[in-house]
Amino acid sequence: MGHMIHRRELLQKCLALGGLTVISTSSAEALLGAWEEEEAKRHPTPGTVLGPFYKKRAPESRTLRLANDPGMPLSVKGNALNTRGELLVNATVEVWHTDHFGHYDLDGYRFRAKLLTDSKGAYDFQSVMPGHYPDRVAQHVHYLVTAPGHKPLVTQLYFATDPVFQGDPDKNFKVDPLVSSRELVRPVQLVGDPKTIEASVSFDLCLERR
Amino acid sequence: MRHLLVILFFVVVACSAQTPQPENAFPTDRIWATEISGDGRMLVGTGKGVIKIWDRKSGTLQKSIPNNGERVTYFVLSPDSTMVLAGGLKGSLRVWETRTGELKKQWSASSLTVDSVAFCSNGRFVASASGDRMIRVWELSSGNLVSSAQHDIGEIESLDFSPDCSSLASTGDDANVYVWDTKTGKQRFNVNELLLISFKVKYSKDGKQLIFAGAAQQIYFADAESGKILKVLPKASNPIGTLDASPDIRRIAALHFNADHMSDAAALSLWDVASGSRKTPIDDRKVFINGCRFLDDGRLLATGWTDGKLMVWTWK
Repeated sequence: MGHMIHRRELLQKCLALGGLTVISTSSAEALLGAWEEEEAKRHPTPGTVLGPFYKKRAPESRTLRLANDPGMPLSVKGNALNTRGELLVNATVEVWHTDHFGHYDLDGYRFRAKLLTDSKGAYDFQSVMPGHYPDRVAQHVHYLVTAPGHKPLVTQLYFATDPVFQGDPDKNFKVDPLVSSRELVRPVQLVGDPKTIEASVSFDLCLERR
Repeated sequence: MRHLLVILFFVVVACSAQTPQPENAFPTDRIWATEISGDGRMLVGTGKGVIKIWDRKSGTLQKSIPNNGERVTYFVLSPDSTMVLAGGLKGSLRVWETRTGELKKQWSASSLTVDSVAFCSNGRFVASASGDRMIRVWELSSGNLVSSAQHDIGEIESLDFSPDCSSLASTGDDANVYVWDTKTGKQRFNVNELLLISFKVKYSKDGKQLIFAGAAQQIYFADAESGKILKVLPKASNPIGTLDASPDIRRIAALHFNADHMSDAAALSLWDVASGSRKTPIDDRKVFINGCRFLDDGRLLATGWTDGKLMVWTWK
């Protein structure tokens, strides 16, 4: 495996070879730092409504799915970070969704969990694909993400495979008026063999600093 | 054949017992919510972008007031029923005189949808809650902003002023119930031990208790000064969208909705607070119950919409 050149080294090399010229009263090093920071900036994950069925004090568990739960097994993973690109360690990620039949558990905590991001800002959970239900067009997973020093993020994850998008979420994501942005509709990977098939989705969560 | 007729007779009797006959029915297009004057003479309802006012006894439609093409998202009657305040999808607030239908005032709360509004008993202040999670208290005569407060997360579901207008209660999708100082917007306390969202909060008529209910399918009573929960009624079988309390707080009327199909018709429940017992006077999937109020004379009045008619029931 070859040596992976660091972004800073690349910029320094460009500077040395004339591929990058600095015209400023600041030092080249300070400007390279500012360039890197600017490039790392990300826009916050679009927000949407919290919905009427949020429930406090969900259990800390990454396994929302029980052995005999109906529905397509679903695996979700991602990172929590901020608009500076800094990964958020120990951020709280609360998730909740309906069961396969489109029913929210109000009495207990089925398909509800509280997750903490790990030392790399990552989270993941195992569940089933949420169902559809009347009054709401698209399958979705609710998120409430909080981290010290950051604005809470209230958003929802949608699935590009949802039949309501008719295979073309670019064109059809607005069929559900609560889908506030195309980027919330995430691609789905099918993994495993036919006996252990699972839908796998990646969904990063970008928070704004207060 | 005779047996079948006997069975059908009992089925019909059973169904009639479940849904009592309304005292009146007014032809109208879909009405999502109604407000009822304290004397029971006036019904105010809203469909998409129109406020409609009926005389209850005659069933006459007295006014049909367009909201400038904007969908009405929430509305309330003033305590003396002389005015109606409506919030709109695009952030507007409008006040009309109910007798004449004259527009008295209009202004914008924000550019976002108005989620709830409230009228103070002395008529001096009104409050709005918007999609930016901001609660704003306005002086009605001038339209000036008096104070503001904000929920951290989630939409605001319901607002109610204390009878002396010094406090404003709010509930939101963060499952908390807040009480704010009307004039400063400073938070007085927060009832945060609930797990699920309350869709309605209401002060008791004497101002001593806060009554709230929602997705937990239970009705809570809390001390209005401290927020300490004093009583919880036994769990119902569906979430509660809105409620009203009799002036002596001995009875609560609650409108339920179906959590799996929120725009479906759902039941009206009537609770005896002392015993915690519950009756369900209306539980008919064909009728969308859209309003209830204990009248000044102690009777309960409820409205529901079905098949192009607004129906009205009263109980002693």
